[in-house]
Amino acid sequence: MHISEGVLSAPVLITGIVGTAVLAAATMRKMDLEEIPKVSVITSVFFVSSLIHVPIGVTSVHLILNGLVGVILGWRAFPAVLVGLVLQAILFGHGGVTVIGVNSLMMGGGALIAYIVWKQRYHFSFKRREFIFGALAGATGVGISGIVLAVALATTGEAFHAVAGAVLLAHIPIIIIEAGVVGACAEFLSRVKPEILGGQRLAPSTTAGSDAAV
Amino acid sequence: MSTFTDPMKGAGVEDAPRQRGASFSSFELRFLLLLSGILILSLASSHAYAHKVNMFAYVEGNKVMMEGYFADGNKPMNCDVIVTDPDKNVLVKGLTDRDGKFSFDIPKITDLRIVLNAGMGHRAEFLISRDELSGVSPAAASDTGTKILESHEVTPSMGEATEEEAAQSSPGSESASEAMVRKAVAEANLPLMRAIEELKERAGLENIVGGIGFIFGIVGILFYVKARKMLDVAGSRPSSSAAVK
Repeated sequence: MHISEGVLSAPVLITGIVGTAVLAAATMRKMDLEEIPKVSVITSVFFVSSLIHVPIGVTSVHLILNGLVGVILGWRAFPAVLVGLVLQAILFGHGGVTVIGVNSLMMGGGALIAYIVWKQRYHFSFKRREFIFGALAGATGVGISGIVLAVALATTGEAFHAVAGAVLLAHIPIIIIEAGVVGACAEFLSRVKPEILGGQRLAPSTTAGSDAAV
Repeated sequence: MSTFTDPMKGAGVEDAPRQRGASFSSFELRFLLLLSGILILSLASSHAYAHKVNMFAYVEGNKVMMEGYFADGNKPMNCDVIVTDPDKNVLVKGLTDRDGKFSFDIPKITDLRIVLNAGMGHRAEFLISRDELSGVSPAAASDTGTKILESHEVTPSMGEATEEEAAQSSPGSESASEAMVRKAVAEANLPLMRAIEELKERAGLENIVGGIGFIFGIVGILFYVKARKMLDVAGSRPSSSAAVK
């Protein structure tokens, strides 16, 4: 999901760049040394996932996985998405350099909201909680991105509700697939390596980190 | 196939009780089942997901033909096409047909910027330079930005004596066959042009690997900066201690 160059007006593009700069600065503060490899691996996953198109009959789909980035990286999801989008724009012409701001707000915003949804799981306790909330987060990531896309396109003069409807309709299959994938990943990781997930409630991070390393 | 999978299943069942985490291995099985389910679901779903839109255009006779396509091969139907000159004056407007194609008469000998808007923020541009259009009518090329009709009016006064020049500038039998040759060449080149455009847009493995390389490069820089800071705090940076000695 991305907006091509030349669609949006200058004020919208500038708003996107400023918003992205503020969010990136806020979410990158005090990144620990240990966090960097994890962020980079997830950035790679995000970068590659939207390039692998799975052919389906006459058309094809690809995963977006911004919800998964949010679930695993928490607030660090934003810089990860930003780097992934910059590389996609430079190497593959997805979007373009001037629209990186808006596209980052769109995809990164979805990732951050997905993380907020994912964190809510502690208010509940039922079987397969991790799967349900992972799936919710995955769907939220794509859904929020779709809404931001519709808002951005509405500024070009297209009617908001018509664009939003079309965008969300087109993304229903990807939302469903994405929910399943992120839910499964979240459940799997919470069983085998819970400390990798974002917003995990553990003992003080220093001891938990050293335990995990061992 | 079945003879291969059945023993595997049997082994899995036997192994499960021996391992402490019996629930875990069954969980793993469910995880795999779920993943394959997702794969099947994704294969069954046939909904078009919006992709990057591309286009290319070429000159054929006095017409410009354009064709749009999505990265996955779908055609952008009923999409806006706008043709502008370098001063951003709109020359032609139209909609693509069912095959994502659109054609229009050359409105002006100038750089033509063709924009295809496929909706949902998808947009492609293609530039046809003046040089490509100059072949349409050789006389027109000498006059910057004049219309074809005007240039035809100019030529008779210039082409004075020889038969050769007259044949070139007037719409006689020679130029008609020339136009046919040009059309045939354009048609023959079409698959090549299409292949080149698709090649340019393809997300090749080299680029994917290159992108991952970039990410690790950024990580390296971050580590370098962090390491310098840490060493500074510890007051034991090799270079500074060497300088003191």
